[in-house]
Amino acid sequence: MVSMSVDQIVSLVESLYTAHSPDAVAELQNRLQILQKSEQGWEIAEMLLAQPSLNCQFIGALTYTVNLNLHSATLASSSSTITYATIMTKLLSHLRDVVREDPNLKSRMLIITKLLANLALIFTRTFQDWKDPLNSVVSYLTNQPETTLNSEILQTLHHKLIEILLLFSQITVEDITKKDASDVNRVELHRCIHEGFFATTQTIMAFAVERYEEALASTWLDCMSSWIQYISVAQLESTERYDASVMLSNLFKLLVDSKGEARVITVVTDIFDTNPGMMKQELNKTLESLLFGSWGIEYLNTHGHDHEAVNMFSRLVIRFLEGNLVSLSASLYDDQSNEKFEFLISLSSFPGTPIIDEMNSVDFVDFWSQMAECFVSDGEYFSLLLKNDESSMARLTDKSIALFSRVAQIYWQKVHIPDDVADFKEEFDSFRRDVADFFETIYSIVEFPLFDNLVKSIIEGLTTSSSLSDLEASLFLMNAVSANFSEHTISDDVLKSLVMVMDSDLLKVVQQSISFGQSLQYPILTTVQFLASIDYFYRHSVGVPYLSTILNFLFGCMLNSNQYSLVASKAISKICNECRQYLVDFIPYFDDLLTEMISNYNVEPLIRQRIINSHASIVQSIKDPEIQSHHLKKILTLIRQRSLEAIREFDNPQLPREEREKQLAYLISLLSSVKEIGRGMKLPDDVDQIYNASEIGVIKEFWERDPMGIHQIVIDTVGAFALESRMLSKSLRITEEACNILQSGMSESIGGPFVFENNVPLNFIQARCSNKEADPKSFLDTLPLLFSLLSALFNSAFRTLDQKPVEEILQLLLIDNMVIVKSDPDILQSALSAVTTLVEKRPSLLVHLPLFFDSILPFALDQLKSKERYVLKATEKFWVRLIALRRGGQQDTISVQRMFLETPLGEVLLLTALENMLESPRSNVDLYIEVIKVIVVKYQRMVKQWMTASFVKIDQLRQERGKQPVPSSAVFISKVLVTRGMGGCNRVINDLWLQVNGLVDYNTR
Amino acid sequence: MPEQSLCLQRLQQERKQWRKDHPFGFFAKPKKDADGYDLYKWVCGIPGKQGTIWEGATYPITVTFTQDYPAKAPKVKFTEDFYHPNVYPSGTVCLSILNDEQDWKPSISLKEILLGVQELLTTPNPLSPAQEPAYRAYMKNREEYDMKVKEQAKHFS
Repeated sequence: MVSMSVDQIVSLVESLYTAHSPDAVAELQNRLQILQKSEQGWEIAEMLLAQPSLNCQFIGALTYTVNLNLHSATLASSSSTITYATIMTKLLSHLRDVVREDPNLKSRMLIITKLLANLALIFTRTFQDWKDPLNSVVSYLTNQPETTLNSEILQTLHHKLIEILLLFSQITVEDITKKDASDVNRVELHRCIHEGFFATTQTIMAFAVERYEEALASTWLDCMSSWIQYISVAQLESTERYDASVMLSNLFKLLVDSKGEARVITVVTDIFDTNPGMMKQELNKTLESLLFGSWGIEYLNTHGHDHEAVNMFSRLVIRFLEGNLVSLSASLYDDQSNEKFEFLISLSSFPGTPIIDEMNSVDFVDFWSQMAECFVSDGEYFSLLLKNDESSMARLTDKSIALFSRVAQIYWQKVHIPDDVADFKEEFDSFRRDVADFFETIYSIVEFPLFDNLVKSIIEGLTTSSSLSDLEASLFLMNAVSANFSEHTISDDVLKSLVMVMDSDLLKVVQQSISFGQSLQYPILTTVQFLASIDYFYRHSVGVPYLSTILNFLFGCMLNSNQYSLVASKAISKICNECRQYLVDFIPYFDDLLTEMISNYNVEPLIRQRIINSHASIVQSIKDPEIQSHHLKKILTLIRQRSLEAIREFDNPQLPREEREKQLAYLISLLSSVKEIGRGMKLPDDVDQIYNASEIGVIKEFWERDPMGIHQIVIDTVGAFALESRMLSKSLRITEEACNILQSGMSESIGGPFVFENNVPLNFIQARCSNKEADPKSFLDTLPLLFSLLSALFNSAFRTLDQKPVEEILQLLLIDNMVIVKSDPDILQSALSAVTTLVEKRPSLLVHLPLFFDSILPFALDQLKSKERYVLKATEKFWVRLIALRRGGQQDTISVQRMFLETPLGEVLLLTALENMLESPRSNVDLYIEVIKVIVVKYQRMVKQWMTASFVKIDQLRQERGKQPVPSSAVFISKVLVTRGMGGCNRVINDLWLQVNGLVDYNTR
Repeated sequence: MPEQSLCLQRLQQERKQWRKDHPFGFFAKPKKDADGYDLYKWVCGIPGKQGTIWEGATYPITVTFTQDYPAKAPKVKFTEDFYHPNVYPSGTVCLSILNDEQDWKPSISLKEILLGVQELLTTPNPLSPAQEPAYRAYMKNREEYDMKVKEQAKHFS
């Protein structure tokens, strides 16, 4: 019961509007909500609406909303004293009173809106009985009996009442649009709206436009906009199909009469964004004649200076045309469309800088791209439209080439980078990317002339001293156009054009501009990117002679300015990698550069590594291993000598901390450079196509001899960093790079400078293990790397490895460090992975070792208890591979089977898997299932016995922990046996897990 | 016009939608071959977020759709050996919205996928490790992780 007087409640409402502190407002709101939801809610709503205060009236209307929602269940009942019908009557009366008090609706619009919203809410719940609330509203507002609205009645109404009707219609459809689509009554509601409410609204809207166009335009457009949204939703959710032609014709009338007021254009554009299907053919024709006829021209004449207005118009034009781009594209054939395309071109070429001054060209680039795609993809459709007439098709093709060439010219101008681009760089880059896409697309249509025009603009620009900005735009677009070129598909014309570019002063001019600093950065960057993108040219015999000039230019960019060094080194790296075989003569040019790169510790590490990798890529392409060796020895010796000096400096305890950090970064980079040599020297995938059998023989023999001692230099360098230097060997990065180097040649099919004998990585691991006491922490950190190196060795060298070294290394790395290994999930995972690799590749190296049964199996069993999913995953893989033993020989299989059958292993494994599976989170169950399944498949005869024994133990354990025994375990065992470990087994085990954990699988219910 | 499969219709729609509205710094376009565009294979770029260790570079990815799209999620791949805890050594991204059995919904747009991957770059999911080196460094040695990510950013800049 509420024990507050009317005055107190009024005062409470008023204080809500005067309170300032958020806490006070929250407190007042809280109190008010209690009142609104109290048993006297309806009475309070009535009482507040009767107050002269606007605040009270609004809260009164709001209280109705609260109670309509609160009592939705009882309001529909006819036995209830308060029903929707009684509330509706009250609300309509209040509406009438409020409108009477304020005929101009100036101050009470919020209250009226809220009352209308309440009526809309009632309508959506009672539409079966209350068919057309608009009629009821008119009846109450005019004190006339309710009748179907028509223009005669509407003529008697003040335009403010018409505004209320429009608002009510708008609120009602907005309300329905927003509501949950799963409401079962929605189909019915949509039908009711279509049958009555829509027709009445159309009558009101038509009248409003006819009679009170200016006064009601804004409300009318809001109403129209809401109906566009609603119709789209209604057509999606029901079978109702709207013919909104009358409404839309009125909208177009408003478009014309308002001379294209922004809001009208927005609403028309909304149609195409929301539901273009609303536009019937006739309407389309009307709109087309408006947009491309005198109205459109007049609009542009009037608003031509207003970028916003023109852009709004352009967007409408684009949305309108997008609906049927294929037909529009085909209409290019017809000269009658010429004007239309001229119009579109003129809109696209609106003066000014894109983004800053105008957005027209930005919006239009997508439009042109879509249209170009029609020409690329819909050729068949065009030919159908033109009845397969070859001359007509040729005409369409010619006109499309001409059209897109003109559009290309516009966008060439538009992609020029403005001086003040910094403030909107992202936006401008995005626009340029869109233009680049457009050029890429239209190359399929315009073909070589597009490329040729760009080239000519460069050549002419260089001779007429036009701006570097023009040159930049052309190069940028050439990059885009040539994105899909390859040396196999490139035409002679393109090659000739590129030769013209290379023979021009382009590189000289750009090189000179480097010294001008920031202002010319874009032409330089784009030139570098362009040179990196035309690798198809360098790989062609025509382009090869230019390689050295280009590399010299890029080296110049890299060395002469920090600003371009990174991007230039990337280009060098790409070219050297892609065109390695043509660059052998260029190797001497690297000599001084490499010395600088290696010796100067201020060189950016990535640049150093890229250049060293580039050199190695070229060296790799030399077929003669002796010459390769010669080059490698030179650079590796250089790195080694410099490294030893730097390591000595680094190991000096007096070195200041800051200097030490710099020195460490330099040293890491030097070791990474060795890795980059390894990467560069990697044989290409198609070895058999590059070398014949006798060449392969020569290479193998050479690297077995390794007369220049390349292997040893690499091994010594790795050792100097990762083993001998007390300080450096603590660095994880150094160990990582050392491991990477030792692994880099492991996948090679024939010998090479980085293909080491098996004992090299094994010795490295041994050396690291023997030194573990010196720094246990860094040893722990490096263990995953060492296991990973071992795994890589097992993976690549399993055929040539012997059992003895495998046993020794597992003893040393795994068994002797078991406590440390178990302390860290990452180490656990990497250790399990290494062992699993051996089981997968050559189990005979492992399964007969005593340490396998004595240590590794208990270790792997233990990991089934892990809570870390990735450790469990590695454990699952180990057990599944071991039990399946796909690569095992007969002896291996027998040996493993004996472990399972003649020792408790099988039962213990099953017990451990089952026990931990039942306790595990759902996300891990699948991993245990795989282990259980493979046991069922391989040891079917023993499963019943093992499982029965397992469940006895599990139940015992569960009882000790106060849990229920596993229900129906015997049934479970039978079911599992029936599945024989096949697909159905997953379901059976999953069900057991759900049952034991008291859960239900809703996916299957 | 020849009838298109639901998948192709949707991919056309995605292309159109992307053109109309795409976030700055991203790019996405179907691969082009001799026959035109292959809507099943997209080449995309994801910019590293400003103010993070990923900034300054646009990371290339490929998005491959199958004919079951949108019922099935596309496969998103970075380059091989991309350094991130939730990217497999093959480059495949491990992300719940790209997993049919997790959060994939047919309504997820290409834009949402790319924004999701961008978000993943800066906020890896430690519960779904996909590669050892980045995961290990992310969990245990954040300094090393940051340094490697920055090096990678330079590589892609």
